[in-house]
Amino acid sequence: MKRMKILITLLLFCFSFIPLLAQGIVTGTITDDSGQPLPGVNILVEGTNTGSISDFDGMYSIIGSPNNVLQFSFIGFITKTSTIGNQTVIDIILKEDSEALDEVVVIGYGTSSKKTLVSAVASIKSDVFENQPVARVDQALQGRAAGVEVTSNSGAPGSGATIRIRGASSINGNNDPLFVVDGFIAGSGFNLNNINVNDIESVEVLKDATALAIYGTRGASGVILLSTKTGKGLPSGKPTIRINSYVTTEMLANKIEILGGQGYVDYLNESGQFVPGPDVDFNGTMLPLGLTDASLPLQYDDPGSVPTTDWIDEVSQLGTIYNTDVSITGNTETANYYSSMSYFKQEGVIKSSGLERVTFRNNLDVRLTDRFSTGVRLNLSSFKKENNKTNFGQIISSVLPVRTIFDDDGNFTGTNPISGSLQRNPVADIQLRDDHDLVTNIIGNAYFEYELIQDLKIKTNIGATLNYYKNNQYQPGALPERILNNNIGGFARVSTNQSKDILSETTINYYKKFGNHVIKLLGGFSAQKITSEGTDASAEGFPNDVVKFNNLSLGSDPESYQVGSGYSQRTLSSVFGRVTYSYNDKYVATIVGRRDGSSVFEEGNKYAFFPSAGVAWNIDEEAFMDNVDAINTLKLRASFGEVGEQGVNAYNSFDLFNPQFNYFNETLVPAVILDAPGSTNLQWETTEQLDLGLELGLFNNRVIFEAGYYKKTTKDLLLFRDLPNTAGNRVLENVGSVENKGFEFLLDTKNIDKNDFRWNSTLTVSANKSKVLDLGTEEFINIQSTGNQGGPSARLIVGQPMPVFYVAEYLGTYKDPQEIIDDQAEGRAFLGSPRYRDVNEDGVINQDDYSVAGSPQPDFYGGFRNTFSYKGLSLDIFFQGSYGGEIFNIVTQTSVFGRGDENVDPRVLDRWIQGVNETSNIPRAGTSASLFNPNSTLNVEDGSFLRLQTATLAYDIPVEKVRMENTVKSLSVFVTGRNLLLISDFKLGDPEVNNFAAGSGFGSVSQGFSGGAYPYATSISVGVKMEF
Amino acid sequence: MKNLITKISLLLFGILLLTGCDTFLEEDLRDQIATDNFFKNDQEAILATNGLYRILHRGSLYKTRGLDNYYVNGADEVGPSRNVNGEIHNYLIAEGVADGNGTWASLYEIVRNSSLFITNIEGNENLSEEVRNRTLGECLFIRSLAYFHLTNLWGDVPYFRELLPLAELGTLERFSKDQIRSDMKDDLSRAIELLPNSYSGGDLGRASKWAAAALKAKFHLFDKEWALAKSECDNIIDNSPHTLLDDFSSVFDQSDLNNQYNAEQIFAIDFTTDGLFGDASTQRTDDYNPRLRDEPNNRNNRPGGPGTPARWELLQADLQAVNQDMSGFGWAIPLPQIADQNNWDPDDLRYDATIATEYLGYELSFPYFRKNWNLDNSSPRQNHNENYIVFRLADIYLMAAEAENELNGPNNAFPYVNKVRERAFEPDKPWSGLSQSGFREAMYDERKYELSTEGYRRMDLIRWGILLDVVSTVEHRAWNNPAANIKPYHVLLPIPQDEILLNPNLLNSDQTNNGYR
Repeated sequence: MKRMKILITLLLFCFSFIPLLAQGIVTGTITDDSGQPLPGVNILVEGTNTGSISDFDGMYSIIGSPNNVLQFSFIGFITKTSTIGNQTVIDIILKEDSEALDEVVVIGYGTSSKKTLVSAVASIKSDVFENQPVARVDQALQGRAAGVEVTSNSGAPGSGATIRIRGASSINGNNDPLFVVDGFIAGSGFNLNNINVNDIESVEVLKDATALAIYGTRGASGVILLSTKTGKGLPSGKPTIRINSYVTTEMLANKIEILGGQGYVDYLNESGQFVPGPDVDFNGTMLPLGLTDASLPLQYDDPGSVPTTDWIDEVSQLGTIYNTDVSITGNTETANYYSSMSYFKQEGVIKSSGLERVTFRNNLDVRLTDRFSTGVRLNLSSFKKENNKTNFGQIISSVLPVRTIFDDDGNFTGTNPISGSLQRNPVADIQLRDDHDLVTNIIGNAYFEYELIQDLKIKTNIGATLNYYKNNQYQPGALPERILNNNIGGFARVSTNQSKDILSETTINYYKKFGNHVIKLLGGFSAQKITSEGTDASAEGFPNDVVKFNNLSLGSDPESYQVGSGYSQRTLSSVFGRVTYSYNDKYVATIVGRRDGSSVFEEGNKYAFFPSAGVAWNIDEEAFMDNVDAINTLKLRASFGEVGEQGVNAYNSFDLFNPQFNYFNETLVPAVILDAPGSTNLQWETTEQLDLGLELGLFNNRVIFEAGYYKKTTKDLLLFRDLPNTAGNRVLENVGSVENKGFEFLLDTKNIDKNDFRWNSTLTVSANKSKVLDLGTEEFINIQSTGNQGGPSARLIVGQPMPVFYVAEYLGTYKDPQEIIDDQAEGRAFLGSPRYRDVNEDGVINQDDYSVAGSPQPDFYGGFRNTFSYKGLSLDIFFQGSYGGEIFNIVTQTSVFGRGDENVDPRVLDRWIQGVNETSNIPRAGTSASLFNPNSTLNVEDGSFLRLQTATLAYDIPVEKVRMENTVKSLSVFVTGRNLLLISDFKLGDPEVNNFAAGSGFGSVSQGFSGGAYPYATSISVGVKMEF
Repeated sequence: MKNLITKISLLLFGILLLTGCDTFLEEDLRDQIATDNFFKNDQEAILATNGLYRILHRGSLYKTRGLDNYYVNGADEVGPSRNVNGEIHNYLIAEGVADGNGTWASLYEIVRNSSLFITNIEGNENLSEEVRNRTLGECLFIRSLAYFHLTNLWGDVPYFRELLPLAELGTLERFSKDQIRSDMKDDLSRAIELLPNSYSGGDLGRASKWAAAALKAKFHLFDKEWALAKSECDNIIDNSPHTLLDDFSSVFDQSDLNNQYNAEQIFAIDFTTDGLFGDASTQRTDDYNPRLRDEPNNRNNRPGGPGTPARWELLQADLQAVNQDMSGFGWAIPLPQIADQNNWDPDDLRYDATIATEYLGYELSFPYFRKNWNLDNSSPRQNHNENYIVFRLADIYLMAAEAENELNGPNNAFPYVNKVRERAFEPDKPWSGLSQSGFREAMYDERKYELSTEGYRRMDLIRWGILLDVVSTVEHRAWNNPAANIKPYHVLLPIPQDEILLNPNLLNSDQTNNGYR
């Protein structure tokens, strides 16, 4: 130990000896233009590691020799240098850097000042989502950015939102934006549950072709860049420690009404006694007009004794969220860092659903030498998601109020008491089932940057995402459906998936300023390989519920073991580049391109090139604008280019067998059947986009107005062509084309800007209109067939928005026998039964009679935020809404036309009843029990809504006044309400729904189908924010 | 120094660029089987053939009322216990309405799969002779079965024998039914040669040569090739190991899961309870099973007076005591005439084995097909094990009788039909002394009583040319009135609407679409 000390002393001595030759102390004061001292300025002896920082009064001192050059740098100011020479006092005045003051916007593979940006990029800063009681940042982006439509699909903890940037442009391909986390291309399927919302510094949404083309084949659906916090730009010195914490209570909102009690029993009994006969001679025609046959058995002969169970109440509860995160961040001369950890726990409004998560983040940038820097971005997360155990859609549609939770013996009921079919018991589901996801995710990047020659930097970035997923399920033998199915003992299932996504990127950046000209060049190469391996195993016959999924081999029925595994891989290899030229910040031009190769295409079709170009004109920089005082910013932008979408799954071109099983004499044997035929000769989908933009800043930029227009045309769309059954199922082809065009507006105003009272407003409004241009040889594609009666319910039709609901026109009820004759509906229709328009008058209601009945696409949507601050008090109120879209209520067919073994809507109280209510257009009970009952205009409802999405009241406690300045730097408390008010006419709860999976395929364009998703909550949070 | 670093860096950059080529972007298929890499050994050929049996389990074919919608319903045997499945029972069939699209799809799925398999198995030296012959025979048989149904239901249909390019398969026109059926009879002759005589154990349920012979006999009979039909039936009767059981009801008794096959069955689709995949069990039984909410008669009566259990509760308790329930759909109950014993010969033992009008001492609201029901509550709703018996020997006897009568008159036909009647009557009531036409018409009823609900009634009525007459006159319950709607063209289905939309060539040979346009 002692020897070590000596050694270190010697070493230090040697080092200190060298500059001893001619060194002296230099001191001085650093001020800004107005003479205000500037603390925290970095002073560096160029070419050495020697540095210093100015103090609170702008004073500094540093040791240097006469031939040394001192560099003074401070964020937001133009860096200045000064040779020491024989000076001992050097006072410096730093000038503000007007460009640096301008907002910096993160773009693909770099940053840009907003002023010289040619692209359409929406930037959302952390104040919008910080401390929102959400696990995922997408849930906080709704209505925040123009051109970005965010629909929350489900209220289940940890479930994501559907994001559509400037509309959906693919039919079978992907429509979700690409997520890029701190430069790592994490893919469109990236699970945002892995990122702590409070770690995010900003979210940038790339929208136009010049911004997207740098992401080539993955940019067509837009790109969302997530940038996490760093210590960059903070004043040097002591680290800052922040603690955020909040607790939230959630309540079920907008509960769906289900008819129970006497009203339901009457409907059911009426339904059961309806018979189509007898034939009545009407004008010489025998017509079955329908009658009530009182001799038919009543389901409930004693309606007074009917039980009523409110199943929604039984499965719901007050939800809670608890969140705490701690971060430490700082900046030194050569390094900056941000480290955080967080804990988030949510118990959902449906019992036994929830999310529990911890995350760790470590961001570090180090300047090793003048020319060489390195850094890491590392995020670790681990969460357990308690999946929703009940089928909420089934509770809405068919778990009847007359069903009891328990039977007379105290066992869970397992059947629908009316139809007699097996039906899960929602309360048993919640109490008995296990189903959770365990996810551990690591997303990390390391970069090395080297300045090869002046202004030319080469950077290599290696990143990886490792994801470990495990799903555990257990269904004990006590579940009623297992008992009724004679499944002895419990059932357990374990699925795992482990994926590895490795990305290697090398870029060269060149920046040169000569005179009024600035040139920025970017060139790069990228290779990415994504592999995914999964296993799946299940066993049955667990004699008790002790080990559950933890030991599948204890399932006592070896014959029921099931195992499976899978592997998939895709690779991408790309070169890309970008050239930006600007003249005096007045004229800017950019050319961008990326050549992508992807493994999923066949040989010869693997590569594609996506170019794009744009220009911007800062009119306010023109001499003739000098006298126009009111206008501070006036900029016009225009860009055009192409981006792509690979749109297909791996291994698409292979003709495959589908593994199956069969039984012979109770013996299980394996089997194969032809899968859908392979799709050959596929190419990329290409989206061309024209973007025009206007940015206007008035009255010292107190009023900022931005308007954008875009027109996107996507061609070579990969479409499944249904094959006649003689040929098979379907194949993919590059045939279709769709168009999206729209306007986006942003109005940001500082309404009041007094010292102690401020009122700012931000309004975003977006309107997107999509149109199907070409579907190859098809005139339409049926993309959904919901309801139990078949037939299309949503279609893509050439010339129409994407998609449209496609249904029969509901005309109300038959009120006159002559109408039945006119419709040639004898035997099919009765007095009081539903009537549909028979367009081709062939006496049959089928697809030929269907027509377009609206589209889920809203005419416009947006958000309106108002922030008020008075001294330490601030209020942030955010409304969000959508207007003009339609919603397809899937439940209508059974709830309004039903036969009583599924739930009915209170609307049927007003139904057609013989001699009582013969003018009603709600059908008579029982008339449509067995006949073809098409999706109709009655399914399609107005989906417009306005929601008070968030309201936050925060108070910054003046720490000096409460004598806490020595303990904390700042302290604030806040109360946030979410989803506080909803205005909507929709009949099935919340209109913001999407029954079909987002992502890719028909589900991704089949928005606006409502069938009772996990309900949304209204929540109130209380929290505290501290800084040390 | 600086230059060197620059050069090295650029070189590295260049190398990185190059590594992005060729092999890096190759597809690496690891977890699935590509079709062009199969049929390398016996096991693979058997796997493929097993797939064809799997398709037969689809709901659109044998699992539930797929084929039965067009073979059993819409005739004079079966109706629903309430107003359900109206399109079928009221003959409201039209393009796009109950046009059999799903059945069509599954049958062509069989044709595509079996054609691919046949191409690959035929002459494949990688396979042992035994397996090659058997699997080839099975494929030929099941494809013939698919074309049998296709031509029965739609008449002329698209026809192919090998997996042509997609563009060709998707644009095929309808092809002569007679030619297709003629080819299938040839294929079945080959299958009879190739297939084994019988199976045992875990192979029971596969097609034997007698299954192929039975199908060939059906083809001949439907096509009125009496001599060929007769000789094929004789071949089965004389040479197959199949025999008639002594007791009629035991032919259908499948209550012992380990003993579901019997000597009379020639071919059956094997269903099992609690199967690994959705289509493993049959749902057909549920159509025949009663539902408790309908039963028993006067179900809400409380025999013990107010406050005591209703009759339905008493029945439920009695059922539970013997581990039974009534959890069916009641979609397939006997029509009034076949349910009424007065319409049967009073000595016909088959009535009690076929029809149930009371149970456990309770008079039932509706009659049921006891023959097809299974009230055992260990085989609950939608999870039944009963095999679908496609061919059985009694049918072959009746076919032989019919063919002989048409060919040479009744004299030598009597022994065939009497063989079947022998076990059906107590005392015996053999046929004799009928004229040829009297024999023919007596056979209309004989087949109804012997083979009710077994999947041939409607086709029998069609081939006899009496469908319209029978359907219009047979008594239905209040909620069905097919007489008002049935038209002569209903002997065939329309080519499904979805199929025509995708392949308009299907209208080339017949713009009326079997009369539906």
